[in-house]
Amino acid sequence: MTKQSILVKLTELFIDFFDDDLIRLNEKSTAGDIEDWDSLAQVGLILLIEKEFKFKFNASEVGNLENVGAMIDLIFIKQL
Amino acid sequence: MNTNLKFDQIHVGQTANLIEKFSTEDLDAFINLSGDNSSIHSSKDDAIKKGFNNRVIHGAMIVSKISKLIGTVLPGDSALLLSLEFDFQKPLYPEQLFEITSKVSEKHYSVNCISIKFKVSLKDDSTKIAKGSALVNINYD
Repeated sequence: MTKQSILVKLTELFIDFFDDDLIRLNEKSTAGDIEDWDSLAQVGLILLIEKEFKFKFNASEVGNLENVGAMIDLIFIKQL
Repeated sequence: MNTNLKFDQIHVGQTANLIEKFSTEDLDAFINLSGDNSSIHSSKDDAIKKGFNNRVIHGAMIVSKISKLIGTVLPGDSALLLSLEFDFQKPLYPEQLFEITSKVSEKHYSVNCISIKFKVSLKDDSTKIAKGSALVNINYD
């Protein structure tokens, strides 16, 4: 998948997870941009992304994610 | 004393069991607590009319013992329950001894979580009462 298609897929996952059709992600999006995106939601999101993209993150990879752009970069690398 | 397992002390395939029983008094107490006094739970006559053998234990009461198992045994004090799915297969009645068997089915290293599968069955004849799964975060200092 291209980084743009990963962004589209992540947006779909976020909309479904947070049950909010108004979510529009970009590379600079962070937890501060989505009201319900707290540490517990982060756990659910990571597990959802692992299931969707069919690979596993390790703890340090997840801990270093600063924004959606970093998440897209990581997914892009993991799928190669 | 509760266990307090850390993430690296848990392995896929790890098991834990509980044997439990609810009394009629427990059932009455849960009706009072939950407010669910529907006839199959509160009236033996009505339950029998609907095809049951006795007043039926609430599924949520069974789930309460799943909570006990997670919070006190596997993983114990370090548990933070994130999600739970359950299917109820047969009714459970007061005074029936039942066993909850649990097994760790997956470790999620990225987020310090484990998936646990559960089976609930009668102790005397192994009748399957319920089955389910949980996602638990291992949260400790």
